[in-house]
Amino acid sequence: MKKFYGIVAAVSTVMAAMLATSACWWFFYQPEEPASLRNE
Amino acid sequence: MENLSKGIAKEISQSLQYDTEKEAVIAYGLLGILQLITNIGLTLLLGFIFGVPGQAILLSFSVSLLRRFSGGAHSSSLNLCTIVGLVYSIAFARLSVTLTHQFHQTWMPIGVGVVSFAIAWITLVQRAPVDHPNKPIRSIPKKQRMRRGSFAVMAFYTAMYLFLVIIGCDRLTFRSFGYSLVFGVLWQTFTMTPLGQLLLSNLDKNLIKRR
Repeated sequence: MKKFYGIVAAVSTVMAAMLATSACWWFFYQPEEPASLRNE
Repeated sequence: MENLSKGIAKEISQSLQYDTEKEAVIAYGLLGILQLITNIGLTLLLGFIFGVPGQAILLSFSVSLLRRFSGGAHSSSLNLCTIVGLVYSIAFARLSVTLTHQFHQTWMPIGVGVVSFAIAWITLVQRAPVDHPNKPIRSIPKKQRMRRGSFAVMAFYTAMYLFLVIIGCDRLTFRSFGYSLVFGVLWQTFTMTPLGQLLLSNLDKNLIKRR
């Protein structure tokens, strides 16, 4: 199970990083960005 | 969806002994994945029901890709965001097909394209990128990078529209894809204007606060 969680965590982190480099979220909702991803 | 992503992120973080910041990053990324899957799934489902799956997906992606660089108005609710995006994608994909079959004249896609892309380019040059309090853009290099990205995406869309219109002379389906692209571009640039921001904020006030 830990291996599976690790994969989900890795994929989610890549997605979070991808979203962080954009101007905003890709649909009409913008959740608050985690502090470590902020690049203002 | 937001609670689901937070719940899964919490479970993963407890199991792998991550700190709260890493948990927040996982929840943020998971929400992006869940929203993407939900939007594509619902757009395809409703697209098939209304006979416009390809047009609806193209419209939805044309908004999303440009939005990544240009920014724009946001809804304060994830559900309202999903509903607004879906209704717009399906309704205007359907309108693209109707326009294609009602107006066969060659000037129609040329006229629609010239007017729409002129409006979109002017809005983009004047306003991109538009940020949000939850994701402010303060540094000049990032603003410039987003601006350049917006222009590159819009140049790609302009070329793609020309290509679809030229092929669409013989095959009308391609013309309907061209119109869908135009409606996506127009909607995205509209959300960058004060009027678009006012519309979404009014939708927020009237539909969410009432609940």
